[in-house]
Amino acid sequence: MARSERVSSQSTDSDHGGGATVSALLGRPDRSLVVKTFATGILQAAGVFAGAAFYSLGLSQVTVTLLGGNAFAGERADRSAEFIACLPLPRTRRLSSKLILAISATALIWGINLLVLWILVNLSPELRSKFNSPDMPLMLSYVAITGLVFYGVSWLISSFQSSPTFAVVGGLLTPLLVIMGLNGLNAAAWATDMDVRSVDRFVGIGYAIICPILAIVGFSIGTWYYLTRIEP
Amino acid sequence: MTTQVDDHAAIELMGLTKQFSRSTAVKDLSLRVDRGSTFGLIGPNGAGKTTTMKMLMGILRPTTGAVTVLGTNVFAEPLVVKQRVGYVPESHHIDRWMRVGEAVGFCRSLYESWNDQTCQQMLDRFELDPNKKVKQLSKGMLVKLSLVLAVSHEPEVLLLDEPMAGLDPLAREEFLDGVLRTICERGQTVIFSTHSLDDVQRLADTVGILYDGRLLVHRNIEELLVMTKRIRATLTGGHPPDCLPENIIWQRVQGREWLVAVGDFTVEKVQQIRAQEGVDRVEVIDLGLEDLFKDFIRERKAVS
Repeated sequence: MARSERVSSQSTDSDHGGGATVSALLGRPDRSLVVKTFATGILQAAGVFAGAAFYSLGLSQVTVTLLGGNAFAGERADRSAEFIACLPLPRTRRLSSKLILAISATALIWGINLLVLWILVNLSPELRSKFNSPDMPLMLSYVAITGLVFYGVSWLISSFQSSPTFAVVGGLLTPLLVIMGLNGLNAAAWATDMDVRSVDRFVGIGYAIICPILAIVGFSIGTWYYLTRIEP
Repeated sequence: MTTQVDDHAAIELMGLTKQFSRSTAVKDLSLRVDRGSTFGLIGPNGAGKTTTMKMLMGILRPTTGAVTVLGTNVFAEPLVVKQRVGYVPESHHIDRWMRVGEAVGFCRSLYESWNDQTCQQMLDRFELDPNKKVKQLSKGMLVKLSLVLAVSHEPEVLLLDEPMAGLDPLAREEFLDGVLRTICERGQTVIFSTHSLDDVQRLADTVGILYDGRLLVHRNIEELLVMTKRIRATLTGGHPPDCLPENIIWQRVQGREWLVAVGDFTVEKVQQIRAQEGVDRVEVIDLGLEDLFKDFIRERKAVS
């Protein structure tokens, strides 16, 4: 960009006969080189943005976990729950507001990042080959599943805890525990017979089954407990 | 499920017990407060006042027993009850990031019977700036805001749980004035718990003394003061007489002096004591609410 401005100012100086010194210093500009450099810069930036968008999807799980973990425990920790409990505000409304917040935040983060990824991947063949691999949907599914279990478990712990920290940490640790459990199970039952790829497949399938179940069960129990509980 | 218990009762507690993991905060508490009356609940720290108030407000589930407010079961229809009850808690947890006006607006949106005029009058009287943030309010101002939020929907029952604890005398006076106006203007039922016996004597029609989760006495305050007396007698032998009067609240022998507080006081009781052998001189002393409270608690402590 700086170079193109420099070239452009040089040509203007030359036209008016005042840029002789600049021309002498830089030589005549090679337009194709300028375009190539500019395009390379754009592509590099696109690559950086695409990578950032992809990692941002992963990091959005932290946001989701914080929202789940703070849903109920947060208001108990700052004791605003006691103020709200004395008001004629139905718990279903309070619950809906927390859900709407989580869904909106997730939709916003995923929407923006997926849009950025889609635009950039369509602009660059290099990025297309990188991101349009057959594994990409599967990878994104795992990211989504992990987000679900983070949210479901932290929501559950938050429903009966006064500490958002416990709820968030509990949510974050769950996928790790699932993977450790699956590996442990594998080691105990089939270690001698399975190759590395089979172990990966076993853990992957197990993770894809167990995590959504944990998320749904955690979310359902947390919701039920919060709705039936009398205390703030 | 609506339990029509008594049309005249604003509040009815029936065999209320609240057990926490290691202790029992309220033990088999039964109480009835009539509509339009003001009931003062007094007791030492840890007597179970706040637990009782929270159960009345429906934010703490009792282990056993039932709570009805204005004929409605608090735990069966909590939203119906909360529409008709105002509550000023011991500690105030209004969202600190809110401005006074926002807190008012938030509560206004939840109550069907919210009265803007009442709210504005109280805000003006208490000099509460709607643009000020809740976190910037002093304790006194926070209590006042809490009272504004509790009474602006013109509740039929007002619950005050030691709201004046830690207030300076001026803030206390302004708060009490606000409560008194509410009582006088609307004839609400007020139930308040406090450590200040002066406040009870000033506000309450009936008083309840709670100790260790049990209600020791529940009576009209004037009647209680008239019917409870302390008798001071001089004993010739240093021992109280064998035949004691009925309904002794507390007694103490110190040297030759015998002090005895009796409930349901009658002249006959004095005559009965005077007629006893070994009793020399008998004097009847009027009790204030503070002395009476102390006598009830001393006796209980001695027993336990």
